[in-house]
Amino acid sequence: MFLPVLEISGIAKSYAGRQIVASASLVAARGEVVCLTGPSGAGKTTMLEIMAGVVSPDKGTVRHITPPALMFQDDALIPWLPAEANIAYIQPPRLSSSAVAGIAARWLGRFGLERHVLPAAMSGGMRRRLSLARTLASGRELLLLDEPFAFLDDAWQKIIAEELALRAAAGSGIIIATHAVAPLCRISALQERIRHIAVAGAPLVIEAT
Amino acid sequence: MSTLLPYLVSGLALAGLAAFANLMLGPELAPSPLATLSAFAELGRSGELFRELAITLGRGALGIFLANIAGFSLGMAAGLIPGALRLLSPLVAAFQACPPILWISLVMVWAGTGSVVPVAAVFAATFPFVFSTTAQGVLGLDRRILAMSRLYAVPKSRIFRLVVLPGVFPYWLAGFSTVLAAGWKAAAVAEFLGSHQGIGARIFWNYHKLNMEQLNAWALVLILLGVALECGVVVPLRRKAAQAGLKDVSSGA
Repeated sequence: MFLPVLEISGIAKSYAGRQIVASASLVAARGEVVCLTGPSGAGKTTMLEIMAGVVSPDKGTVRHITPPALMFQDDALIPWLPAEANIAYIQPPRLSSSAVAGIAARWLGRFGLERHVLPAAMSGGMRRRLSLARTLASGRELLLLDEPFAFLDDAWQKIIAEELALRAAAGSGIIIATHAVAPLCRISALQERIRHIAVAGAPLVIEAT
Repeated sequence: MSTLLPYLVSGLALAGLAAFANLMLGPELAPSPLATLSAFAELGRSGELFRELAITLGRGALGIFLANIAGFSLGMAAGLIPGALRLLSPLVAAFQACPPILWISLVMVWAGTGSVVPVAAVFAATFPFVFSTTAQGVLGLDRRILAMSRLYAVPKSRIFRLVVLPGVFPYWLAGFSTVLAAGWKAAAVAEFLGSHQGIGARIFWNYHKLNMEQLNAWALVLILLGVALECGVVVPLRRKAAQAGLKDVSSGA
């Protein structure tokens, strides 16, 4: 059964007179992994940010059936907070401190990160893993991931693709902007869940409703 | 030894200048370095030095404290309200351009002489800088982190405590170091013109009586105080601000 998790329609966006997104319409479903691929500068990041609601489109509508989580292209980690606190930062205030500590410990352990390390002391790959850990630790069911495999070696790419497969199987909708779909294609459980949308270049056009 | 050498050389150069002035103008107008040191020692022995020093430092500290409370709060508000700093920047520039003498004159007219004048002069001389560096700090915050905070509906109090305050802190710290360096000088000038107590007032009275040994001794107090603040507080604060990831925003002030 097709259960939508995000609907966007007729999106257009320009920056400083340059059109980045010409027309984008998409309906993404639970359990689906939508891969947006295309060259750098094609507008994929802008599109994800519009989908997340952190950037307003000039035209069109965005409808979240469930609140989104966004893994930013540049990580958007808080530089003066250690790894654990970066994950704890986005947790809802209704959770107790021990519950928050448990969530952080689980995701840090899953992605091989130490709780007291500051982002500045991490490699690019570690920062990427922390950014993804924070996104997944939000517990949200609409995941918007901007280049989640960047700076990661094959082993970590596989672990993360497996984690995404688990989330998709549990009913999350996942939209990924990426140059590399190979790590996802290697996971057999994802084969039937992947929808590949190739974009040619700016301005971006998507018709996938 | 290598740390103390510049101070030793600078002290000897200063003593040399005083000795030269003594030679050229005579002891009535330019006392010898030894006479100045003797008057300085007498100020210490009598306790007058510490009494007047405490008054000047207390006034400077109070003015700086009040400027920080007002400048930090209003700077934070101006940074958080879109467009506010741009609208207020000419006013801030105008306040920064005003010499302390203007504020001193006005406060003397409004409030007479006494502690109000130096405290108000220090406040007026330092408030614009605290205000503008704090507002710049808010504007310098990473917009992506703020967008991420909104996306996850992070409570405003948590954003303020964990993102805004630590992000603004290096800017404020760099600004505070400049304010410290400028504040006590404004206090001394204000005391010279509008107070009966404090180092500035002592300089005024000795100038009035042409007591050059005492005048030089108080000038020496001012110099030592300035060097102690610069080396003991201002420079370490600027180093700390730089370590916190900020270039020295105060260097152009």
